[in-house]
Amino acid sequence: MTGIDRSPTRTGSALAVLAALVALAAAGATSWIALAVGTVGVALFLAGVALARHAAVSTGAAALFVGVLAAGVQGAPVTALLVGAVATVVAWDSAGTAIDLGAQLGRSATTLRLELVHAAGTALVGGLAAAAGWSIYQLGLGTQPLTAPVFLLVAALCLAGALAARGGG
Amino acid sequence: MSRGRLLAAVGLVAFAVGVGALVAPGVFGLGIQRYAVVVIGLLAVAAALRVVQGRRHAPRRRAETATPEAVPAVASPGEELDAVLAAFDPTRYGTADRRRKQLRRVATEVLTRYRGDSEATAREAIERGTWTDDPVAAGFLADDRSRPPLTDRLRTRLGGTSPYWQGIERTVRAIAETAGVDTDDRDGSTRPGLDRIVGSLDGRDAGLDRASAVADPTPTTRSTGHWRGISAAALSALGVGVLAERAGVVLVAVVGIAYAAAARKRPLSAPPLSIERTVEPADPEPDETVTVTLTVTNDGEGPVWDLRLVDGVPPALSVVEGSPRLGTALWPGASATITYEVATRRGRHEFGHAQVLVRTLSGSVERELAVEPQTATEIICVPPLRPIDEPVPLRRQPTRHTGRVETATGGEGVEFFATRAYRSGDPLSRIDWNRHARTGDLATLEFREERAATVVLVIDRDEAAAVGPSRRGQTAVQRSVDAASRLFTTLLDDGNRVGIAALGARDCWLAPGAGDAHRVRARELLATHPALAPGETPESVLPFGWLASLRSQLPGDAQVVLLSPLCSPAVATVARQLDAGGHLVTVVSPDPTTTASGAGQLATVARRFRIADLRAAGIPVVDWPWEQSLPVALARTGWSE
Repeated sequence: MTGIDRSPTRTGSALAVLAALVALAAAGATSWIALAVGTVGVALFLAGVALARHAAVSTGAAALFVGVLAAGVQGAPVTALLVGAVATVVAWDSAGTAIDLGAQLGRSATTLRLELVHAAGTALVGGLAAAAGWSIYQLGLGTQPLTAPVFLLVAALCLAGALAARGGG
Repeated sequence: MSRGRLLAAVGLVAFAVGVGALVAPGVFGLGIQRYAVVVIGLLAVAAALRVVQGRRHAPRRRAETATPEAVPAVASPGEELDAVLAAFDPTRYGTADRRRKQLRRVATEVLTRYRGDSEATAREAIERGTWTDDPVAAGFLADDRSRPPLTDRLRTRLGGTSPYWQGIERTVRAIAETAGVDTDDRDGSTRPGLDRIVGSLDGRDAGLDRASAVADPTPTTRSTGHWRGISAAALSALGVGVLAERAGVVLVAVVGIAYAAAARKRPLSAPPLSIERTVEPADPEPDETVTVTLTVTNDGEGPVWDLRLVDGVPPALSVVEGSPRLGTALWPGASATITYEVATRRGRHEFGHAQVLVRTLSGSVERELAVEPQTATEIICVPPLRPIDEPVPLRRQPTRHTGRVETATGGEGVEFFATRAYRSGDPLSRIDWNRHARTGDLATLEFREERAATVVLVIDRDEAAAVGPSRRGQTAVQRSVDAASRLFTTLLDDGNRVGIAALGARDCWLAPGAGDAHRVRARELLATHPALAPGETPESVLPFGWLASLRSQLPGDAQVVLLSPLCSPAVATVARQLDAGGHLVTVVSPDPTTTASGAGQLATVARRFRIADLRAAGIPVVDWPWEQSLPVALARTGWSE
């Protein structure tokens, strides 16, 4: 009746759900708080993907991210935190892309290549950043007082913000 | 100083402090460091909350795409109650009482026509509320407007409709029932009365109207806001990590910063894309499916990370297999192909350009462009002309020879008509020799004399005629064109001179003629003339200027067969004026009305009035039910004066 099925694409939804579950597992493995908050987040996230609601997807992803941070505060291993954080962002990004693609092209269109390339790009950015962070941590910075890395991060954040002031993030 | 520069300056200072702390851990006093770190943590958390807050007010943006798969929805007659009422009584101004006045007038007309009341009696019955058993309808039109019983009023309130709209609804139903229109099969009776009666546009396609979406070729770039809020992840991780003194959490901020940096807005130039489209077959038979293959190639130097394409399927064609949409990534020189099938309909169908959206790899910027192939793609479907076996409803023409009635079919007389007494001079071949052998009387056989008629088929393609009972079905215009093609063939085969005209379209005119070349011209005109194209909604025009020019073109003795659903009063006037002007008019009227809504019932009543009026004026009307074929409708009508 109303033309085509404009719900989120299958590939993107599957990727998003998979990534969200990975994030939940990574964060929830060591922390009950992370598991609880993350589960609520994943439920919201799933509802958002199913109903094509950006707001629910973002709120769910945010809850998942709060879970990751909570796990970090409770002393989860660094690798789990980095995996959880990257997986959360990949899930959020894939879900948003799936919703937009569904609205623009519909479910019946071939979109596999686009979604895989996009998700791979997002995962690559996160992976590289996590690897860089992890290397610095392994080099011994993590054992020092936080002063130096914090100021360096603030510097990076401000520079990123300066770039983003022209739009974007 | 701009925000960007301020941030850059703060960043540089922080960088210097960080490097200093690395190189010489003792330079800054430990206490100051401690406080500074806590302040940074709090600031970061506050900033993260601000980003989250800001995100709420900045919605994501994306280009809307058209829905070229489906043909435009077909309106039903009586889509708007006000339009139907205006056809009875063109009172344009006034308040809510206007509808009441108009309905009163309709009711009067129904009572005089169907109950045989005089106008005065009908008016009185309406004023006194005795014309119907329904108290709500009676009260609505009555003069004293006595209040309906309390129970009825309560039910109205609880049902969610206003008394005014309920009054209109019940009145319309009472009128329709009085006129003998079937009101039982109405749907959606739980919807609010306003929607149901006025006829909402529900069921129309979501998404943009294709015409406006694809017809805008200006490339536009927009920021999608896809990554908006990602910096909150970096800030909150930094803040929480610092306050909780967890290095692992601070590391998470590194990931967030990387994403925020990757998502920054980059200029996105229009990539050089080319598309190639082939259709197979390009000249299909009606109802054949055509396979469309579209290949898009990246002719540029760099990759196109994110390409979303919607092909410009012609409006009148619907996609039956596959999808005319593609989302892909294209390396330099690479191409991607989609294949889909469309169902063809009569006409010349030109493909529009493909709507293409490209995004950066991160998806934060989107650009819209229109891409056209080197050569325009067309599907031309010219249906064959098929005659019908039924006699075509022509009117008998009084001739110069008195005492004779001529029929419409041409050539030599072949049909037995009568016998009469022999008169000297009758040809020997026409003497009834069998009878002579039996009885010895001489009698002459008379055959029906036949004479070619000149006929012009006039197709009503007004906006009011572009209606049909189902949203995804044919319109009455399409029915009329199909009928015209069959009538044309039959009449031409019978040796008549036949022409074609379209109501309100001066350039759509084929002067009456005969012969094979004429037949080919007519086939071409019926199939591909823009005035008759399927999928286009014609504009609504008053046809009287056109009528004057038609009359100057019509040969003096030409008959007119008007193909029209009779959905507007103007068409009925055209028929009557042509008839009065000496051209014998016959109306073949496909019936597109539905009784599913109150306005539809009223439109049905209005159409019946028009048919009755035309018949009373001596103009024969073939009322052609939607589900019947044309030959059946013609046979059922039974042609006679």
